[in-house]
Amino acid sequence: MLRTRQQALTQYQQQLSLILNCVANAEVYSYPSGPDTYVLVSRDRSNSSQLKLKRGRHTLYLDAHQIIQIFDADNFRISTVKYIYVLWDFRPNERVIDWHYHRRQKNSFEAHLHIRDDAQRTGHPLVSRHIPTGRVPLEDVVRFAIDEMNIGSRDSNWKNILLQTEAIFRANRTW
Amino acid sequence: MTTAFNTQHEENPQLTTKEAFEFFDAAVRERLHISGQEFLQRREEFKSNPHYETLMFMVPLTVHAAD
Repeated sequence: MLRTRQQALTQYQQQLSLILNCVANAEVYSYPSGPDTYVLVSRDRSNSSQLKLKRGRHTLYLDAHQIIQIFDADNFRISTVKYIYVLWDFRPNERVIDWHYHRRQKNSFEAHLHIRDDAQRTGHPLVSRHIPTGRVPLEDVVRFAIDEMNIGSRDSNWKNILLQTEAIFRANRTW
Repeated sequence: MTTAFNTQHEENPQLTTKEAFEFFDAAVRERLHISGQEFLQRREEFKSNPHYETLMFMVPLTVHAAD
């Protein structure tokens, strides 16, 4: 049983850190952006604002940030208000894919992904379109990176770590 | 440029207002080579930059900087 908002926040930060450290040398910081909302931002311990992911001799990059709300009256339940997860190619300034969740803007879907082609190589009709998704747990982004993008894991126990943190996420989700 | 936050090495730390702005500023400098303040003033010019959405997501780090 959590007793304080700070405990809830610290525990949540630790979970995010565990997830991200499956693929990067990540540190996660929080900052109160409102009375009950917090920005959670990650960066690489090598002093880069982007997390560095290893794929063979290449380094890809990941941005992973969230805004959360903590409900004190509901046992300090944490709800994700917004997220942005961006996977970058090893080529500078080229995104591969990004996942967004935020309040509806114009006609976009609240939870969606974008396939990117910043160098305009493919001309694929879905590039940069809002492709609807369910809300995507950060664990799935890390799984995608390892299983589909061949990013090297930094922890041989990464599958169990993600299962454990995701179980907490699924137990607390309200949607 | 080396930017260190919470130098007492606290695990999962909370940023102070000053540190939060420095975090934002460092990210902007690294990606766009301008200051965080300049980005806030000229953000519309960077709408087509691939880093725009990530940096805009971090703008709440600056909310209390002017208090």
